[in-house]
Amino acid sequence: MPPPSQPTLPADIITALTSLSTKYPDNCELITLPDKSAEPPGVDIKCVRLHDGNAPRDPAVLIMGGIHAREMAPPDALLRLAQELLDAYKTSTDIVFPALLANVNGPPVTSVSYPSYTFPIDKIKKIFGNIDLYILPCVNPDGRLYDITHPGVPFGPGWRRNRRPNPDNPDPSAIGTDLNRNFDIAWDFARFFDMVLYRSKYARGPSATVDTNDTFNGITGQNRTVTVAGGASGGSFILSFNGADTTPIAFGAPAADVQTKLTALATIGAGNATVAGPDGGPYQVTFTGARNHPVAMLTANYAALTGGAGSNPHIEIVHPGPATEPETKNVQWLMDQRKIRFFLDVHQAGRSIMYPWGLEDNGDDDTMTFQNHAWDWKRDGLLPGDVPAGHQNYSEFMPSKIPYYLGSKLPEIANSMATAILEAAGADPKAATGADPRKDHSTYAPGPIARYYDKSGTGPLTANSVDYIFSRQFIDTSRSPIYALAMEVGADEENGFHPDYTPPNNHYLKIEREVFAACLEFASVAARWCKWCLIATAAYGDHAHPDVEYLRDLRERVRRSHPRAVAVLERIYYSFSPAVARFLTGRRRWRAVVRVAVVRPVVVILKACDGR
Amino acid sequence: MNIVRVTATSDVLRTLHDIGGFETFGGGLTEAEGQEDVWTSSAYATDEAIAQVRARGARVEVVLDADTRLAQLNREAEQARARLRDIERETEGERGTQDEAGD
Repeated sequence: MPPPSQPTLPADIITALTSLSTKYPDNCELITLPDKSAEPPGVDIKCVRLHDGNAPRDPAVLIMGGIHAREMAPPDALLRLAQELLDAYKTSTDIVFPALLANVNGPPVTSVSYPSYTFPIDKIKKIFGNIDLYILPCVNPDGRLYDITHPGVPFGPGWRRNRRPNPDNPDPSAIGTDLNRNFDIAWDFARFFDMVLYRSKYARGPSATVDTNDTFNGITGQNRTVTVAGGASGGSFILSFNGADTTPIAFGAPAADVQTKLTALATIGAGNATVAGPDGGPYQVTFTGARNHPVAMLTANYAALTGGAGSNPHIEIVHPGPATEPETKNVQWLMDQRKIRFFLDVHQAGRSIMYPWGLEDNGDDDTMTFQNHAWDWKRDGLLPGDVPAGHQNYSEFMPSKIPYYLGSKLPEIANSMATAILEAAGADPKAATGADPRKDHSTYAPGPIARYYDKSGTGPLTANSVDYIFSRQFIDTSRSPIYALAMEVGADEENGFHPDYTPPNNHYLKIEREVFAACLEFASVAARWCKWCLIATAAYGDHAHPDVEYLRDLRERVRRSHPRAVAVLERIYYSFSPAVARFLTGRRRWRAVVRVAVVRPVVVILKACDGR
Repeated sequence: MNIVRVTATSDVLRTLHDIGGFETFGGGLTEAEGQEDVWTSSAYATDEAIAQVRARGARVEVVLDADTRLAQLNREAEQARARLRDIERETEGERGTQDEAGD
């Protein structure tokens, strides 16, 4: 299948996926996700599972793209990835990219020559042999179709959201939801953060991100609960909606007064909101009219609230739930139904490979977690050096110890993907800047997602797909570990969200090769790490210890000759080993005992029997 | 909109979001070499927005001008519409075949 010469339409992506499942029934399962897209009548959203003839298994890898409509290249590249992997596996041949000449924007425009690049069949066989690979090329088909067919729309650089209609508002820009702010993780950021503290640095902030065109986290008919809390006994507070502030609302104000001040805002308007509840709250705010869409975050400034000694007067605002969109639900469904342990969300553009957390900077205090509601309305959203005196810095807990080493493994994966991209470009990784154009224009920066909010002032990325998938292991610990990453492919040098698919620019072909290199490395890592020996790994504190490697290798060899027996044994082993591994965490003596008295003797005996 | 690169201190960058017709994108934020707290960000910007960004002390470099960009998008949209018409014809053809089979 040749590369596309223009962005592929969503309908053609579905047709191509269907053709793959027909052509390769033994290795490609076509899955129609349960929810049709949001724009009536809705279209089916489909993905494929690439496998080795087996039933769905654990572990599974999910790579998806196109959640943001205008990001053109990822859906095409992921469809091609599925096609090329299946073709190569069935014909037992390498995937070969021919030499390429592509332009990058300047100024001035520069032509860069890339050598041929080969991904060998033995690595492809390891991927098929060890993991189930789910590829969901286009999460948001309605948005993609709209973006392709509406060039130069007056909404900025292209359409980003889905196409959920808005019967209440004729403004064509006032529809749709940013699907990557709609996942069930820290969605309710007015509760998640101390908004006054947060806005001390991010004037625009997450609420403004929602209020403006970027994000629409809800649907028509939703309401908010506003509670004056923390021992407040006087003073006043201000409510904000779509960037407009009410006049001060006195502590103890009746609901009618709150309603009057809200509906006086130009961003709401008379008759477009009702407020009910007792004097002083809690107030039930319901948006009812044309301003109800896009439903924005209502936020509060409570710096002028007062209270007695030791009090912490503030406003608590509760918004409705996340995952309102069918496209978001589909991804969550896949996560729930299939044992996804490795997840990659492919975005465009910015040449970066990112890992959790997005909702805050990473830290090592295990009491600071998204699940700890004692931190609600107190998290800062700031980097440690920016937190004002008198406030305790909040950093989201990232476990870095045994058995899973998430804090070090995530950067390790990101780095190996970045290296794979450079290798695919034929770049010299040690070249100085300016010495090797292949390196200069194919260098991807690894890092945690949250680092992006600092300098440009756009705020942490709450409710995004990566944080959601990653968070599931802390809610259901039997599913640990889960590794989740995102990448931003391409750059302004390749026309931003809309790369040129045609010569002489060939932006798409360059990006496609980078997507392949990164995704294949990601899947290869998953294939290597997928089912490590948890207890041995915990005992040694190193998943790459020779004894651990030996046990893993032995299991794979036995699996080839006795697949059913290994499957049964694995089911038994993985029913208790995560609990044992967790028990060993932090118990140095127990780890030594298990290492010396159990694992080492077992390895010695097995090696003797194995003739090694 | 043009695709641009904006270089400024983080304090200036944070103020640019209230400019209409200006939107930064992706993770394309890099630290300018040899200058403390000076950053370069990729963005989409109208001509009017570029003038406002410059007025706030940021350096702006146009990477892809709006006309060139729009010409590419228009070309792709035209191809897409043609393909949509083909898909519609194919679908109608399939329906017709099914109807005949049903008869």
